[in-house]
Amino acid sequence: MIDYVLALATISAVQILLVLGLNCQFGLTGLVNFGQVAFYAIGAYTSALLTVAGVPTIPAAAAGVGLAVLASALVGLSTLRLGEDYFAILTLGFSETVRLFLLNARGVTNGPIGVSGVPRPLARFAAGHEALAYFALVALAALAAFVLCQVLAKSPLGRTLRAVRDDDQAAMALGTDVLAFRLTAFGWGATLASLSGTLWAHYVTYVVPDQFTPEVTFYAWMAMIIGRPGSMIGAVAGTVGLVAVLESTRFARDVFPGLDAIHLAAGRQIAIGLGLILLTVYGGRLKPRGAR
Amino acid sequence: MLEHLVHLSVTGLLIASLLALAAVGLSLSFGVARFANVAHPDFMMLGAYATFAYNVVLGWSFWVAAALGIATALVLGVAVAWLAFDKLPVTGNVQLLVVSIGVSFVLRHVALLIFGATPAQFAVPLQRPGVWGPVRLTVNQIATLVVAGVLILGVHFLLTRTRLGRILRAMADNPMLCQVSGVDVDRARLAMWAIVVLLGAVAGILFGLNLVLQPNMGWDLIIPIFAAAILGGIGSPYGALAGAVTLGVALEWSTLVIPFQYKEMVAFGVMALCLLIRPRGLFGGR
Repeated sequence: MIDYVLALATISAVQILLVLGLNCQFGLTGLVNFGQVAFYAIGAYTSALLTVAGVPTIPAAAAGVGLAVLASALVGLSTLRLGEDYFAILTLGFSETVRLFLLNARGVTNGPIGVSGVPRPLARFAAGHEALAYFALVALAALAAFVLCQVLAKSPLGRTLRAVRDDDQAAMALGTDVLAFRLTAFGWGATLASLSGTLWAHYVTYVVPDQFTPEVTFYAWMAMIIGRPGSMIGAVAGTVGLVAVLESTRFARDVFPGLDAIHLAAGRQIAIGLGLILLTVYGGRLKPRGAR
Repeated sequence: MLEHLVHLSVTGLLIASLLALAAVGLSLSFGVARFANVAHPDFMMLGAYATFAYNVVLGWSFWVAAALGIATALVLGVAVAWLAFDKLPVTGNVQLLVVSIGVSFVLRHVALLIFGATPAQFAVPLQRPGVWGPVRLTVNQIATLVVAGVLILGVHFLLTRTRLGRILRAMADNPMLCQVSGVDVDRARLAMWAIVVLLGAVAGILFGLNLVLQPNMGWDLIIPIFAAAILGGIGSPYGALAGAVTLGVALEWSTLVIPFQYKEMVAFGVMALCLLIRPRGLFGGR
Protein backbone atom coordinates (compact mmCIF):
# COMPACT_ATOMS: atom_id res chain seq x y z
CA MET A 1 0.00 0.00 0.00
CA ILE A 2 2.80 2.39 0.97
CA ASP A 3 4.55 1.44 -2.27
CA TYR A 4 1.40 2.22 -4.21
CA VAL A 5 0.96 5.65 -2.62
CA LEU A 6 4.63 6.36 -3.22
CA ALA A 7 4.23 5.38 -6.88
CA LEU A 8 1.19 7.67 -7.25
CA ALA A 9 3.06 10.52 -5.59
CA THR A 10 6.05 10.04 -7.90
CA ILE A 11 3.84 9.92 -11.00
CA SER A 12 2.05 13.08 -9.83
CA ALA A 13 5.30 14.93 -9.26
CA VAL A 14 6.60 13.97 -12.74
CA GLN A 15 3.32 15.10 -14.31
CA ILE A 16 3.35 18.37 -12.33
CA LEU A 17 6.48 19.42 -14.25
CA LEU A 18 4.73 18.70 -17.54
CA VAL A 19 1.54 20.56 -16.57
CA LEU A 20 3.47 23.55 -15.17
CA GLY A 21 5.28 23.82 -18.50
CA LEU A 22 2.01 23.74 -20.42
CA ASN A 23 0.53 26.26 -18.01
CA CYS A 24 3.37 28.72 -18.67
CA GLN A 25 2.70 28.30 -22.39
CA PHE A 26 -1.09 28.41 -22.49
CA GLY A 27 -2.19 29.77 -19.11
CA LEU A 28 0.36 32.56 -19.01
CA THR A 29 1.07 33.28 -22.68
CA GLY A 30 -1.93 31.87 -24.55
CA LEU A 31 0.01 29.42 -26.72
CA VAL A 32 -2.25 26.55 -27.77
CA ASN A 33 0.36 23.78 -27.56
CA PHE A 34 -1.22 20.49 -28.64
CA GLY A 35 2.16 18.75 -28.82
CA GLN A 36 3.58 18.96 -25.30
CA VAL A 37 4.27 15.20 -25.38
CA ALA A 38 6.90 15.77 -28.11
CA PHE A 39 9.22 17.60 -25.71
CA TYR A 40 8.50 15.06 -22.97
CA ALA A 41 9.50 12.30 -25.44
CA ILE A 42 12.64 14.16 -26.52
CA GLY A 43 13.74 14.49 -22.89
CA ALA A 44 12.94 10.85 -22.08
CA TYR A 45 14.63 9.32 -25.13
CA THR A 46 17.71 11.56 -25.14
CA SER A 47 18.40 10.87 -21.50
CA ALA A 48 17.62 7.16 -21.80
CA LEU A 49 19.83 6.62 -24.86
CA LEU A 50 22.73 8.64 -23.46
CA THR A 51 22.73 7.09 -19.97
CA VAL A 52 22.47 3.57 -21.40
CA ALA A 53 25.52 4.48 -23.52
CA GLY A 54 27.36 5.41 -20.31
CA VAL A 55 26.92 9.19 -20.12
CA PRO A 56 26.27 10.45 -16.55
CA THR A 57 22.66 11.42 -15.75
CA ILE A 58 23.03 15.19 -15.41
CA PRO A 59 24.73 15.85 -18.78
CA ALA A 60 22.23 13.44 -20.38
CA ALA A 61 19.29 15.36 -18.92
CA ALA A 62 20.88 18.65 -20.02
CA ALA A 63 21.26 17.29 -23.56
CA GLY A 64 17.55 16.43 -23.55
CA VAL A 65 16.66 19.95 -22.46
CA GLY A 66 18.93 21.44 -25.13
CA LEU A 67 17.36 19.34 -27.85
CA ALA A 68 13.82 20.15 -26.65
CA VAL A 69 14.52 23.90 -26.60
CA LEU A 70 16.04 23.71 -30.07
CA ALA A 71 12.98 21.84 -31.34
CA SER A 72 10.66 24.37 -29.71
CA ALA A 73 12.52 27.20 -31.42
CA LEU A 74 12.20 25.52 -34.84
CA VAL A 75 8.51 24.74 -34.40
CA GLY A 76 7.85 28.15 -32.87
CA LEU A 77 9.63 30.17 -35.53
CA SER A 78 7.48 28.73 -38.30
CA THR A 79 4.09 29.34 -36.67
CA LEU A 80 4.19 31.58 -33.59
CA ARG A 81 3.55 34.61 -35.80
CA LEU A 82 0.37 33.03 -37.17
CA GLY A 83 -3.01 32.36 -35.55
CA GLU A 84 -3.68 29.85 -32.76
CA ASP A 85 -5.12 27.28 -35.15
CA TYR A 86 -1.89 26.96 -37.10
CA PHE A 87 0.21 26.67 -33.97
CA ALA A 88 -2.13 24.04 -32.49
CA ILE A 89 -2.07 21.91 -35.65
CA LEU A 90 1.66 22.23 -36.16
CA THR A 91 2.48 21.26 -32.57
CA LEU A 92 0.07 18.31 -32.76
CA GLY A 93 1.67 17.26 -36.05
CA PHE A 94 5.12 17.66 -34.52
CA SER A 95 4.29 15.38 -31.62
CA GLU A 96 2.98 12.67 -33.96
CA THR A 97 6.07 13.11 -36.16
CA VAL A 98 8.37 12.64 -33.17
CA ARG A 99 6.46 9.49 -32.15
CA LEU A 100 6.67 8.07 -35.69
CA PHE A 101 10.38 8.84 -35.76
CA LEU A 102 10.88 6.95 -32.48
CA LEU A 103 8.89 4.06 -33.94
CA ASN A 104 10.65 3.89 -37.31
CA ALA A 105 14.25 5.03 -36.83
CA ARG A 106 15.35 1.63 -35.54
CA GLY A 107 19.03 2.46 -35.92
CA VAL A 108 18.82 5.30 -33.40
CA THR A 109 15.87 4.57 -31.12
CA ASN A 110 15.55 0.79 -31.36
CA GLY A 111 12.08 1.17 -32.90
CA PRO A 112 9.02 -0.32 -31.19
CA ILE A 113 11.20 -2.30 -28.75
CA GLY A 114 12.44 0.92 -27.19
CA VAL A 115 15.27 1.33 -24.72
CA SER A 116 15.38 -0.67 -21.49
CA GLY A 117 17.76 -0.78 -18.56
CA VAL A 118 17.73 2.98 -18.05
CA PRO A 119 19.61 3.48 -14.74
CA ARG A 120 17.78 5.02 -11.79
CA PRO A 121 19.97 7.66 -10.16
CA LEU A 122 20.51 7.69 -6.37
CA ALA A 123 20.06 3.90 -6.29
CA ARG A 124 23.64 3.51 -5.09
CA PHE A 125 23.19 5.79 -2.12
CA ALA A 126 19.84 4.53 -0.93
CA ALA A 127 19.99 0.76 -1.02
CA GLY A 128 16.62 -0.61 0.09
CA HIS A 129 14.89 2.77 -0.22
CA GLU A 130 15.33 3.45 -3.94
CA ALA A 131 11.70 4.36 -4.51
CA LEU A 132 11.66 6.80 -1.61
CA ALA A 133 14.93 8.42 -2.66
CA TYR A 134 13.71 8.80 -6.22
CA PHE A 135 10.44 10.31 -5.03
CA ALA A 136 12.43 12.83 -3.00
CA LEU A 137 14.41 13.78 -6.10
CA VAL A 138 11.30 14.17 -8.27
CA ALA A 139 9.43 16.07 -5.56
CA LEU A 140 12.38 18.44 -5.21
CA ALA A 141 12.38 19.03 -8.97
CA ALA A 142 8.63 19.66 -8.96
CA LEU A 143 8.95 22.06 -6.03
CA ALA A 144 11.79 23.95 -7.73
CA ALA A 145 9.79 24.17 -10.96
CA PHE A 146 6.73 25.40 -9.05
CA VAL A 147 8.71 28.14 -7.31
CA LEU A 148 10.35 29.20 -10.57
CA CYS A 149 7.00 29.30 -12.39
CA GLN A 150 5.43 31.25 -9.56
CA VAL A 151 8.30 33.77 -9.63
CA LEU A 152 7.99 33.95 -13.41
CA ALA A 153 4.25 34.62 -13.19
CA LYS A 154 4.74 37.46 -10.71
CA SER A 155 7.76 39.01 -12.45
CA PRO A 156 7.70 41.78 -15.07
CA LEU A 157 8.39 39.05 -17.65
CA GLY A 158 5.22 37.26 -16.53
CA ARG A 159 3.27 40.50 -16.86
CA THR A 160 4.53 40.94 -20.41
CA LEU A 161 3.58 37.35 -21.25
CA ARG A 162 0.04 37.99 -19.99
CA ALA A 163 -0.09 41.15 -22.06
CA VAL A 164 0.92 39.12 -25.13
CA ARG A 165 -1.80 36.60 -24.27
CA ASP A 166 -4.57 39.15 -23.72
CA ASP A 167 -3.90 41.43 -26.66
CA ASP A 168 -0.88 40.77 -28.84
CA GLN A 169 -1.73 43.70 -31.15
CA ALA A 170 -1.62 46.18 -28.27
CA ALA A 171 1.57 44.65 -26.91
CA MET A 172 3.13 44.92 -30.36
CA ALA A 173 2.04 48.53 -30.68
CA LEU A 174 3.79 49.29 -27.37
CA GLY A 175 7.04 47.96 -28.80
CA THR A 176 6.98 44.46 -27.32
CA ASP A 177 8.74 41.85 -29.44
CA VAL A 178 5.80 39.45 -29.31
CA LEU A 179 7.55 36.64 -31.20
CA ALA A 180 10.56 36.69 -28.85
CA PHE A 181 8.36 36.52 -25.75
CA ARG A 182 6.29 33.68 -27.21
CA LEU A 183 9.46 31.77 -28.09
CA THR A 184 10.73 32.30 -24.53
CA ALA A 185 7.54 30.94 -22.98
CA PHE A 186 7.42 28.05 -25.45
CA GLY A 187 11.06 27.18 -24.75
CA TRP A 188 10.57 27.33 -20.98
CA GLY A 189 7.57 25.02 -21.23
CA ALA A 190 9.59 22.66 -23.44
CA THR A 191 12.39 22.69 -20.83
CA LEU A 192 10.01 21.59 -18.07
CA ALA A 193 8.43 18.96 -20.36
CA SER A 194 11.86 17.60 -21.27
CA LEU A 195 12.88 17.36 -17.59
CA SER A 196 9.57 15.67 -16.83
CA GLY A 197 10.28 13.10 -19.57
CA THR A 198 13.81 12.51 -18.26
CA LEU A 199 12.52 11.91 -14.73
CA TRP A 200 9.86 9.56 -16.12
CA ALA A 201 12.38 7.51 -18.17
CA HIS A 202 14.66 7.05 -15.16
CA TYR A 203 11.69 6.18 -12.96
CA VAL A 204 10.14 3.42 -15.11
CA THR A 205 13.67 2.51 -16.41
CA TYR A 206 12.52 1.85 -19.99
CA VAL A 207 11.07 3.90 -22.86
CA VAL A 208 8.92 2.74 -25.79
CA PRO A 209 7.18 4.93 -28.42
CA ASP A 210 3.75 3.92 -27.06
CA GLN A 211 4.37 5.95 -23.91
CA PHE A 212 4.39 9.12 -26.00
CA THR A 213 0.96 9.28 -27.65
CA PRO A 214 -1.08 12.54 -27.82
CA GLU A 215 -2.98 11.19 -24.83
CA VAL A 216 -0.15 12.49 -22.62
CA THR A 217 -0.61 16.00 -23.99
CA PHE A 218 -4.33 16.00 -23.33
CA TYR A 219 -3.97 14.55 -19.81
CA ALA A 220 -1.85 17.62 -19.16
CA TRP A 221 -4.47 19.87 -20.78
CA MET A 222 -7.17 18.38 -18.60
CA ALA A 223 -5.11 18.81 -15.43
CA MET A 224 -4.41 22.42 -16.39
CA ILE A 225 -8.06 23.18 -17.16
CA ILE A 226 -9.21 21.59 -13.88
CA GLY A 227 -6.77 23.80 -11.99
CA ARG A 228 -7.71 26.86 -14.07
CA PRO A 229 -5.15 27.97 -16.68
CA GLY A 230 -2.76 30.63 -15.45
CA SER A 231 -2.78 29.46 -11.84
CA MET A 232 0.38 27.57 -10.85
CA ILE A 233 -1.17 26.24 -7.63
CA GLY A 234 -4.14 25.15 -9.72
CA ALA A 235 -1.83 23.26 -12.08
CA VAL A 236 -0.37 21.33 -9.13
CA ALA A 237 -3.76 20.59 -7.57
CA GLY A 238 -5.30 19.66 -10.92
CA THR A 239 -2.49 17.21 -11.66
CA VAL A 240 -2.70 15.50 -8.27
CA GLY A 241 -6.49 15.24 -8.56
CA LEU A 242 -6.40 13.87 -12.11
CA VAL A 243 -3.69 11.28 -11.34
CA ALA A 244 -5.70 10.13 -8.30
CA VAL A 245 -8.91 9.76 -10.33
CA LEU A 246 -7.35 8.15 -13.43
CA GLU A 247 -5.18 5.76 -11.44
CA SER A 248 -8.16 4.70 -9.33
CA THR A 249 -9.78 3.37 -12.53
CA ARG A 250 -7.26 0.55 -12.25
CA PHE A 251 -9.49 -0.79 -9.50
CA ALA A 252 -12.52 -0.75 -11.81
CA ARG A 253 -11.56 -4.28 -12.87
CA ASP A 254 -11.99 -5.51 -9.32
CA VAL A 255 -15.51 -4.05 -9.22
CA PHE A 256 -16.52 -5.03 -12.78
CA PRO A 257 -14.67 -8.29 -13.49
CA GLY A 258 -15.93 -8.42 -17.11
CA LEU A 259 -13.76 -5.49 -18.19
CA ASP A 260 -10.57 -6.27 -20.05
CA ALA A 261 -7.57 -4.01 -20.54
CA ILE A 262 -8.71 -2.73 -23.96
CA HIS A 263 -12.16 -1.75 -22.72
CA LEU A 264 -10.66 -0.04 -19.72
CA ALA A 265 -8.13 1.89 -21.80
CA ALA A 266 -10.81 2.95 -24.30
CA GLY A 267 -13.10 3.97 -21.43
CA ARG A 268 -10.38 6.18 -19.99
CA GLN A 269 -9.84 7.87 -23.34
CA ILE A 270 -13.57 8.48 -23.74
CA ALA A 271 -13.56 9.96 -20.24
CA ILE A 272 -10.69 12.27 -21.23
CA GLY A 273 -12.56 13.37 -24.36
CA LEU A 274 -15.81 14.04 -22.54
CA GLY A 275 -13.92 15.67 -19.68
CA LEU A 276 -12.17 18.07 -22.06
CA ILE A 277 -15.47 19.02 -23.72
CA LEU A 278 -17.45 19.47 -20.51
CA LEU A 279 -14.72 21.35 -18.65
CA THR A 280 -14.15 23.64 -21.62
CA VAL A 281 -17.81 24.41 -22.12
CA TYR A 282 -19.40 24.28 -18.71
CA GLY A 283 -16.39 24.71 -16.43
CA GLY A 284 -15.92 28.17 -17.91
CA ARG A 285 -12.26 27.54 -17.33
CA LEU A 286 -10.60 27.82 -20.66
CA LYS A 287 -10.28 31.55 -20.42
CA PRO A 288 -7.01 31.97 -18.58
CA ARG A 289 -7.30 33.71 -15.23
CA GLY A 290 -7.36 37.46 -15.62
CA ALA A 291 -8.08 37.30 -19.36
CA ARG A 292 -10.97 39.28 -20.71
CA MET B 1 13.02 4.49 -63.98
CA LEU B 2 10.41 6.38 -65.97
CA GLU B 3 8.06 3.44 -65.56
CA HIS B 4 8.61 3.52 -61.80
CA LEU B 5 7.92 7.25 -61.75
CA VAL B 6 4.66 6.76 -63.67
CA HIS B 7 3.66 4.00 -61.26
CA LEU B 8 4.40 6.22 -58.25
CA SER B 9 2.44 9.08 -59.80
CA VAL B 10 -0.62 6.86 -60.27
CA THR B 11 -0.42 5.68 -56.66
CA GLY B 12 0.08 9.31 -55.67
CA LEU B 13 -3.06 10.32 -57.54
CA LEU B 14 -5.03 7.61 -55.75
CA ILE B 15 -3.86 8.89 -52.37
CA ALA B 16 -4.42 12.45 -53.56
CA SER B 17 -8.05 11.69 -54.45
CA LEU B 18 -8.73 10.53 -50.87
CA LEU B 19 -6.75 13.40 -49.37
CA ALA B 20 -8.62 15.83 -51.60
CA LEU B 21 -12.06 14.70 -50.39
CA ALA B 22 -10.94 15.12 -46.78
CA ALA B 23 -8.96 18.34 -47.28
CA VAL B 24 -11.70 20.08 -49.31
CA GLY B 25 -14.18 19.34 -46.51
CA LEU B 26 -11.71 20.53 -43.88
CA SER B 27 -11.08 23.77 -45.75
CA LEU B 28 -14.80 24.35 -46.24
CA SER B 29 -15.52 23.87 -42.53
CA PHE B 30 -12.55 26.05 -41.57
CA GLY B 31 -13.80 28.82 -43.82
CA VAL B 32 -17.40 28.71 -42.61
CA ALA B 33 -17.10 27.64 -38.95
CA ARG B 34 -13.76 29.39 -38.39
CA PHE B 35 -11.83 26.82 -36.39
CA ALA B 36 -9.50 23.93 -37.23
CA ASN B 37 -11.61 20.82 -36.65
CA VAL B 38 -9.20 18.22 -35.30
CA ALA B 39 -12.02 15.64 -35.35
CA HIS B 40 -12.45 16.10 -39.12
CA PRO B 41 -10.40 13.03 -40.16
CA ASP B 42 -12.58 10.92 -37.87
CA PHE B 43 -15.54 11.48 -40.19
CA MET B 44 -13.61 9.13 -42.52
CA MET B 45 -13.54 6.47 -39.82
CA LEU B 46 -17.26 7.03 -39.20
CA GLY B 47 -18.16 6.38 -42.87
CA ALA B 48 -15.87 3.37 -43.12
CA TYR B 49 -17.14 1.63 -39.97
CA ALA B 50 -20.80 2.41 -40.67
CA THR B 51 -20.34 0.67 -44.03
CA PHE B 52 -18.41 -2.14 -42.34
CA ALA B 53 -21.35 -2.74 -39.98
CA TYR B 54 -23.78 -3.32 -42.87
CA ASN B 55 -21.29 -5.05 -45.17
CA VAL B 56 -19.51 -7.44 -42.82
CA VAL B 57 -21.50 -7.59 -39.56
CA LEU B 58 -24.88 -7.86 -41.34
CA GLY B 59 -23.42 -9.40 -44.50
CA TRP B 60 -25.11 -7.16 -47.07
CA SER B 61 -23.60 -6.42 -50.48
CA PHE B 62 -20.93 -3.75 -50.55
CA TRP B 63 -22.79 -1.15 -52.62
CA VAL B 64 -25.96 -1.36 -50.51
CA ALA B 65 -23.81 -1.21 -47.39
CA ALA B 66 -21.90 1.81 -48.71
CA ALA B 67 -25.13 3.72 -49.42
CA LEU B 68 -26.54 2.91 -45.99
CA GLY B 69 -23.15 3.57 -44.40
CA ILE B 70 -23.02 7.05 -45.91
CA ALA B 71 -26.55 7.75 -44.69
CA THR B 72 -25.72 6.51 -41.18
CA ALA B 73 -22.48 8.49 -41.07
CA LEU B 74 -24.36 11.59 -42.21
CA VAL B 75 -26.90 11.29 -39.40
CA LEU B 76 -24.29 10.55 -36.72
CA GLY B 77 -21.62 12.93 -38.00
CA VAL B 78 -23.91 15.90 -38.54
CA ALA B 79 -25.53 15.31 -35.15
CA VAL B 80 -22.13 15.27 -33.44
CA ALA B 81 -20.84 18.32 -35.32
CA TRP B 82 -24.06 20.27 -34.75
CA LEU B 83 -24.16 19.44 -31.02
CA ALA B 84 -20.47 19.92 -30.32
CA PHE B 85 -19.54 22.79 -32.63
CA ASP B 86 -22.76 24.77 -33.17
CA LYS B 87 -24.95 24.26 -30.12
CA LEU B 88 -22.51 24.33 -27.20
CA PRO B 89 -22.17 27.76 -25.62
CA VAL B 90 -18.53 28.19 -26.58
CA THR B 91 -16.80 31.31 -27.76
CA GLY B 92 -13.67 31.53 -29.82
CA ASN B 93 -11.56 29.18 -31.85
CA VAL B 94 -9.38 28.00 -28.95
CA GLN B 95 -12.36 26.54 -27.10
CA LEU B 96 -13.65 24.94 -30.31
CA LEU B 97 -10.19 23.47 -30.96
CA VAL B 98 -10.16 21.81 -27.54
CA VAL B 99 -13.76 20.63 -27.96
CA SER B 100 -12.86 19.08 -31.33
CA ILE B 101 -9.94 17.23 -29.70
CA GLY B 102 -12.43 15.87 -27.16
CA VAL B 103 -14.84 14.83 -29.92
CA SER B 104 -12.02 13.02 -31.72
CA PHE B 105 -11.04 11.10 -28.57
CA VAL B 106 -14.66 10.05 -27.99
CA LEU B 107 -15.38 9.00 -31.61
CA ARG B 108 -12.22 6.94 -32.02
CA HIS B 109 -12.55 5.11 -28.75
CA VAL B 110 -16.26 4.42 -29.08
CA ALA B 111 -15.35 2.79 -32.42
CA LEU B 112 -12.59 0.88 -30.63
CA LEU B 113 -15.06 -0.37 -28.00
CA ILE B 114 -17.55 -1.54 -30.63
CA PHE B 115 -15.29 -2.90 -33.37
CA GLY B 116 -12.00 -3.67 -31.58
CA ALA B 117 -8.48 -2.65 -32.54
CA THR B 118 -7.78 -5.39 -35.10
CA PRO B 119 -7.56 -4.06 -38.67
CA ALA B 120 -10.67 -5.06 -40.62
CA GLN B 121 -11.58 -5.28 -44.30
CA PHE B 122 -14.74 -5.00 -46.35
CA ALA B 123 -16.19 -8.20 -47.77
CA VAL B 124 -15.33 -7.53 -51.41
CA PRO B 125 -13.77 -10.01 -53.85
CA LEU B 126 -10.06 -9.71 -54.63
CA GLN B 127 -9.39 -8.13 -57.99
CA ARG B 128 -6.76 -8.62 -60.63
CA PRO B 129 -5.38 -5.26 -61.80
CA GLY B 130 -5.77 -4.21 -65.41
CA VAL B 131 -2.48 -3.33 -67.08
CA TRP B 132 -1.97 -0.46 -69.52
CA GLY B 133 1.76 -0.11 -70.14
CA PRO B 134 3.31 1.00 -66.85
CA VAL B 135 -0.12 1.73 -65.32
CA ARG B 136 -1.73 -1.02 -63.23
CA LEU B 137 -5.13 -0.33 -61.68
CA THR B 138 -7.81 -2.52 -60.12
CA VAL B 139 -11.50 -1.82 -60.70
CA ASN B 140 -11.75 -0.57 -57.10
CA GLN B 141 -8.93 1.90 -57.70
CA ILE B 142 -10.57 3.19 -60.87
CA ALA B 143 -13.86 3.50 -58.97
CA THR B 144 -12.00 5.47 -56.27
CA LEU B 145 -10.66 7.97 -58.79
CA VAL B 146 -14.03 8.33 -60.52
CA VAL B 147 -16.08 8.73 -57.32
CA ALA B 148 -13.63 11.26 -55.88
CA GLY B 149 -13.58 13.20 -59.16
CA VAL B 150 -17.37 13.29 -59.42
CA LEU B 151 -17.77 14.42 -55.80
CA ILE B 152 -15.19 17.19 -56.18
CA LEU B 153 -16.95 18.38 -59.35
CA GLY B 154 -20.21 18.25 -57.40
CA VAL B 155 -18.76 20.49 -54.70
CA HIS B 156 -17.55 22.87 -57.39
CA PHE B 157 -21.05 23.14 -58.90
CA LEU B 158 -22.61 23.44 -55.46
CA LEU B 159 -20.30 26.30 -54.50
CA THR B 160 -20.59 28.19 -57.78
CA ARG B 161 -24.07 27.47 -59.14
CA THR B 162 -26.43 27.12 -56.18
CA ARG B 163 -27.93 29.48 -53.62
CA LEU B 164 -26.46 27.39 -50.78
CA GLY B 165 -23.02 27.66 -52.38
CA ARG B 166 -23.31 31.42 -52.61
CA ILE B 167 -24.34 31.60 -48.96
CA LEU B 168 -21.44 29.39 -47.85
CA ARG B 169 -18.92 31.46 -49.78
CA ALA B 170 -20.42 34.62 -48.35
CA MET B 171 -20.23 33.19 -44.82
CA ALA B 172 -16.58 32.36 -45.31
CA ASP B 173 -15.94 35.94 -46.45
CA ASN B 174 -17.96 37.85 -43.90
CA PRO B 175 -20.25 36.01 -41.47
CA MET B 176 -21.55 39.18 -39.81
CA LEU B 177 -22.62 40.80 -43.05
CA CYS B 178 -24.21 37.51 -44.08
CA GLN B 179 -26.29 37.38 -40.91
CA VAL B 180 -27.52 40.95 -41.08
CA SER B 181 -28.57 40.47 -44.70
CA GLY B 182 -31.08 37.88 -43.56
CA VAL B 183 -29.30 34.61 -44.26
CA ASP B 184 -30.31 31.75 -41.96
CA VAL B 185 -26.75 31.17 -40.75
CA ASP B 186 -27.62 28.21 -38.51
CA ARG B 187 -29.24 26.29 -41.34
CA ALA B 188 -26.38 27.05 -43.70
CA ARG B 189 -23.91 25.71 -41.13
CA LEU B 190 -25.97 22.56 -40.80
CA ALA B 191 -25.87 22.11 -44.58
CA MET B 192 -22.13 22.75 -44.51
CA TRP B 193 -21.60 19.98 -41.92
CA ALA B 194 -23.66 17.62 -44.09
CA ILE B 195 -21.42 18.30 -47.12
CA VAL B 196 -18.28 17.97 -45.02
CA VAL B 197 -19.37 14.70 -43.39
CA LEU B 198 -20.47 13.30 -46.77
CA LEU B 199 -17.05 14.02 -48.33
CA GLY B 200 -15.26 12.58 -45.30
CA ALA B 201 -17.41 9.46 -45.10
CA VAL B 202 -16.95 8.68 -48.80
CA ALA B 203 -13.19 9.21 -48.45
CA GLY B 204 -13.19 6.78 -45.52
CA ILE B 205 -15.14 4.13 -47.43
CA LEU B 206 -12.81 4.45 -50.44
CA PHE B 207 -9.83 4.24 -48.10
CA GLY B 208 -11.25 1.05 -46.58
CA LEU B 209 -11.89 -0.37 -50.04
CA ASN B 210 -8.23 0.02 -50.99
CA LEU B 211 -6.54 -0.56 -47.62
CA VAL B 212 -7.81 -1.59 -44.17
CA LEU B 213 -10.12 -0.16 -41.50
CA GLN B 214 -8.90 0.78 -38.03
CA PRO B 215 -10.43 3.04 -35.38
CA ASN B 216 -7.37 5.29 -35.81
CA MET B 217 -7.54 5.33 -39.63
CA GLY B 218 -8.67 8.96 -39.76
CA TRP B 219 -6.46 10.20 -36.94
CA ASP B 220 -3.40 8.62 -38.59
CA LEU B 221 -4.03 10.80 -41.67
CA ILE B 222 -4.34 14.03 -39.71
CA ILE B 223 -0.90 15.34 -40.76
CA PRO B 224 -1.30 14.79 -44.54
CA ILE B 225 -4.90 16.10 -44.51
CA PHE B 226 -4.01 19.31 -42.70
CA ALA B 227 -0.82 19.61 -44.76
CA ALA B 228 -2.86 19.42 -47.98
CA ALA B 229 -5.37 22.01 -46.72
CA ILE B 230 -2.62 24.37 -45.49
CA LEU B 231 -0.59 23.92 -48.69
CA GLY B 232 -3.65 25.02 -50.64
CA GLY B 233 -4.39 27.91 -48.27
CA ILE B 234 -6.74 26.74 -45.50
CA GLY B 235 -10.26 28.07 -46.00
CA SER B 236 -10.08 27.69 -49.77
CA PRO B 237 -11.66 24.44 -51.09
CA TYR B 238 -10.05 24.80 -54.53
CA GLY B 239 -6.66 25.34 -52.93
CA ALA B 240 -7.22 22.20 -50.88
CA LEU B 241 -7.78 20.21 -54.07
CA ALA B 242 -4.57 21.52 -55.61
CA GLY B 243 -2.74 21.00 -52.31
CA ALA B 244 -3.94 17.39 -52.06
CA VAL B 245 -2.82 16.51 -55.60
CA THR B 246 0.57 18.17 -55.09
CA LEU B 247 1.10 16.53 -51.72
CA GLY B 248 -0.18 13.08 -52.77
CA VAL B 249 2.16 12.84 -55.75
CA ALA B 250 5.08 14.50 -53.92
CA LEU B 251 4.79 12.02 -51.02
CA GLU B 252 4.97 9.05 -53.41
CA TRP B 253 7.91 10.55 -55.28
CA SER B 254 9.66 11.21 -51.98
CA THR B 255 9.88 7.43 -51.45
CA LEU B 256 12.50 7.40 -54.22
CA VAL B 257 14.96 9.17 -51.92
CA ILE B 258 13.47 8.83 -48.40
CA PRO B 259 12.40 5.50 -46.84
CA PHE B 260 8.63 5.09 -47.12
CA GLN B 261 8.08 4.89 -43.33
CA TYR B 262 8.96 8.57 -43.17
CA LYS B 263 6.09 9.71 -45.42
CA GLU B 264 4.19 11.35 -42.54
CA MET B 265 7.34 13.20 -41.59
CA VAL B 266 7.70 14.46 -45.15
CA ALA B 267 4.09 15.68 -44.96
CA PHE B 268 4.87 17.41 -41.67
CA GLY B 269 7.98 18.99 -43.20
CA VAL B 270 5.94 20.26 -46.15
CA MET B 271 3.37 21.75 -43.74
CA ALA B 272 6.01 23.44 -41.55
CA LEU B 273 7.93 24.84 -44.52
CA CYS B 274 4.74 26.13 -46.11
CA LEU B 275 3.75 27.91 -42.89
CA LEU B 276 7.24 29.38 -42.58
CA ILE B 277 7.56 30.63 -46.15
CA ARG B 278 4.02 31.15 -47.40
CA PRO B 279 1.39 30.76 -44.65
CA ARG B 280 -1.43 31.67 -47.06
CA GLY B 281 -0.69 28.54 -49.02
CA LEU B 282 0.80 27.97 -52.44
CA PHE B 283 -2.49 28.60 -54.16
CA GLY B 284 -3.71 31.82 -52.62
CA GLY B 285 -6.37 31.45 -49.94
CA ARG B 286 -7.11 33.99 -47.30
